Amino acid sequence: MSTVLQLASTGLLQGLIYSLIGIGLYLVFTVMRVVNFAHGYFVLIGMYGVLTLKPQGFPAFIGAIVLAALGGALVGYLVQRFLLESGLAKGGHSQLVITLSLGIAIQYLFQVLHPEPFETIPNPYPFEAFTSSGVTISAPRMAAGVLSLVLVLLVSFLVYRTRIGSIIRGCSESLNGAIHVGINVRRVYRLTFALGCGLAAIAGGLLLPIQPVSPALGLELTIKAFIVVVIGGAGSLWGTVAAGVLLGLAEALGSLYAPGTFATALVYGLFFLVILVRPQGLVVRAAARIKPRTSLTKVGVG
Amino acid sequence: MTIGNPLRYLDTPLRRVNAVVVVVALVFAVVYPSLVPPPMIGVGFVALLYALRNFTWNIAGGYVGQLSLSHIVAFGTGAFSVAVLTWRHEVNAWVALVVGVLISAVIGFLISLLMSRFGVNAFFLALGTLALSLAAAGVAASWTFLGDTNGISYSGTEEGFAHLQWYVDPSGFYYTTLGFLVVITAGTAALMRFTHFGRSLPFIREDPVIAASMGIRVVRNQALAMALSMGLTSIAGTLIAQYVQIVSYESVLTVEIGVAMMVGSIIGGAGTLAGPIVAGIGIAVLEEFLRSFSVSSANVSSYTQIAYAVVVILLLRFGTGGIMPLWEAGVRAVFGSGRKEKVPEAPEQPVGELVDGRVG
Amino acid sequence: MLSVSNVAKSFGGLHVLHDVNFTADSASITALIGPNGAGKSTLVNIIGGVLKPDAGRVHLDGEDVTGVPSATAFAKGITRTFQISGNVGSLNVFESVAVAAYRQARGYRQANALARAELERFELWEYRDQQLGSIPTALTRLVDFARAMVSRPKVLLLDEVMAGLTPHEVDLVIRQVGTCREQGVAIVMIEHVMQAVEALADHVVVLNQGQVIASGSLGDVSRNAEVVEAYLGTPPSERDEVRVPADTPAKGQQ
Repeated sequence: MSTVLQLASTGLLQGLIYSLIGIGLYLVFTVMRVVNFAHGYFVLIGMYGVLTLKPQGFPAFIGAIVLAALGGALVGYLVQRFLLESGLAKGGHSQLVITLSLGIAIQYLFQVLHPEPFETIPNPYPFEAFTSSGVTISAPRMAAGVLSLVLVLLVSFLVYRTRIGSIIRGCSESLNGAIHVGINVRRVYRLTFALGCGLAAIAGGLLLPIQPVSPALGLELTIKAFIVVVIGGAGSLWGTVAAGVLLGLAEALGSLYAPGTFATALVYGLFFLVILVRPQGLVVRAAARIKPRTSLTKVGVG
Repeated sequence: MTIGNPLRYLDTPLRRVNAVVVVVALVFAVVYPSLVPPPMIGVGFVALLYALRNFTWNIAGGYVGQLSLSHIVAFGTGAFSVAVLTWRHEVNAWVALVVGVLISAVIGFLISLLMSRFGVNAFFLALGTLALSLAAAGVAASWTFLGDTNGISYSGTEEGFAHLQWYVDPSGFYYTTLGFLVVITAGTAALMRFTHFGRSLPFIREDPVIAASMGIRVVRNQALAMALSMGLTSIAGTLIAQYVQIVSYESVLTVEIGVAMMVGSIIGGAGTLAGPIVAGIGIAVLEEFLRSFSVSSANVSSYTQIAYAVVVILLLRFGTGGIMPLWEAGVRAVFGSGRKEKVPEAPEQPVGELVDGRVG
Repeated sequence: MLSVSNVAKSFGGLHVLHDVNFTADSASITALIGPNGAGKSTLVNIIGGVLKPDAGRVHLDGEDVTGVPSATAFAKGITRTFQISGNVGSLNVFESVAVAAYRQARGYRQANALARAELERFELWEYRDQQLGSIPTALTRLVDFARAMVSRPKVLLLDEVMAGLTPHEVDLVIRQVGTCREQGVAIVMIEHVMQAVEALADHVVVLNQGQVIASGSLGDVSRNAEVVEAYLGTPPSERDEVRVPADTPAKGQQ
């Protein structure tokens, strides 16, 4: 019983990190309808960012996360500004290939810079593990879960309760409407993309003391982010949060019944089925809505 | 009708230039192994293999626009079928090759059918096939039948074309791959040019609704193209497995392979015949070039991956369709299009991506 | 002969078509007119197999073809043109016609021969090597029409094929539509260019708000009070498009 409880609490806390990664992608993919296959690699930027800064002690760790988040957001801003913006009108295809390639480039850049796999940092928090009724939770895991939850709440406040949030949602609902009321849509897109990437980088920083980082992690996290976002649905941010927790729990409890790689295979297999049965059309429809295609080059990939 | 003079199809400068390039390239490809030491023949084999891999992806990915990452599964199936059947159970390698092709084709057919039945769009096709490939890798990693994390190593003593194995001199691999590449390219060119099926594929890519209203059976043709494409990709997997003599989920079921196929085709020009081949050979040359600067082999693959990514991002960002469209535009700019002064009633052929003779 | 009976279609509670009945005889031209939003395109999509009707039947020469897939509809002889061909810009002109020719052709050579004949008939042969995106919009419409004609259809649905054409091109298409009628094809044309309706239509069906409000000869329907009201009730910008009678050249659309 205590094993189950132990796994469940670990899974829940891990799930909250997935939720944080997921809402970053939710803002980009579900709200802005931009395909970002590099999302998990922004988590990687956060992880390697904090790793490179080698923070000593708690305040330095938080400072490192903030710096890494700003770095991730800046890269995100530049990616949207210089790579994706022009592709916006061309539809999802070029975005898909550009961000997928970008992810690969980031992965191998880190491969060259950090050839050692599984690097990590020691516990940066000023407290040790928690133990209660047979369940032990390490300080970094507990802190990462709690901080993720706080950030999720902050983002939902931003999206649903502030003017910026209503502008973001407005652009999502009617792009033409937003243009008509004088919103600088490009800027909103850039900033939202930067926000999404920054959140991913923060999640990376929080994840680092728990999960040793290797360049190959980026792809895995991208897929997990998409799993969370697709299962969470387009309805509201809370679906994404719930899906993140669900994924964390499923992973942790699944490890009870199936060996590691097989359990992951099962998750991906299930995700494939989810993709089949969900009503589709998000990306393509969004692209058509933004601008009727006048440019006839189909960016080579049809 | 009689068989016309094949030279009359070389009626534009572009076709003439391409014909010369193709002939020179073929001659060079044939004599290449006798010009270089054996290690370089191995490099040549790898280059042709990349070309073959890109080319077969391009059939579904470029012509039909199915941005599939399930080709990773096809590549892996080709490799694992020869590992399991030939290395473990001493079935002839060619039989294993055919088995790999058939299994991959069936998988491709089913994936495409499922995706169309559920109305999955291009983006979710990519995401779904990626998930499927990762699932396949997970299964291979935990299933002893597929060598789990240890992989399967070659065991065998026989050599020669009948066994698809050469221990010392890689020129056997080289010529076999060249043969496959030439036959598959010519076959695809003929398919795309002469059959209703092949000619329908660009219409399906551009607009499935219009394609259907022209009597094209969109779902069926998509599935057939995917089956063909993935079936042929499996051949590349079998060849590389025989060459490196070890197969594991980490060596043949990685996402990098799928991305390399996709990106390689796009860099060369998706939906063109020569593009994926040019890009595949180009990337192999780039790898070798980096090695000559004594970059460690782990970093060589890192740098080539980065190079792939940067090139494709720039291509897409600036809206060009890849190497082949640039080449065609360049040739036209230098030699002219050769169309304007044509007498309209002269019998002519409408399209020509590459020179290929026609029985007219 | 094409017959549409009691066809209804709604999209999420919005009734686009309601109990629509009409027939289009072989060797005659039926013009489908009506203000924007009247449901003309939806009707054509239903006949062409792109959409399934909620109720009602479509028969072709007595055979029930309701809701068959587009490819089957084409195989049975229902061919159509499309209003927008913008996103198929990278397709080759010759191939567009040749692929459609496979309904009649047995094999490559025959398909090419048919396509060539059709392109020459439409004075398009010199554009055969071009991409649809690189020729003027007017010509893409002609290619579209040639593509439909090359399959030797029983029913031809022309969706605003005249829009944006010059008077010379309109004449060319009018001639071709006339030839097509002589070959026994039942032609249904959605048309805003009255020059074409006047010149060609044997029968006019007026659709308004998803219902047939009048049918008969052009003279009959233009005297029909309900038709006049339907048009005058619409904003002037749209009314312009259906000037009756009109001797002005076609107005560019899209």
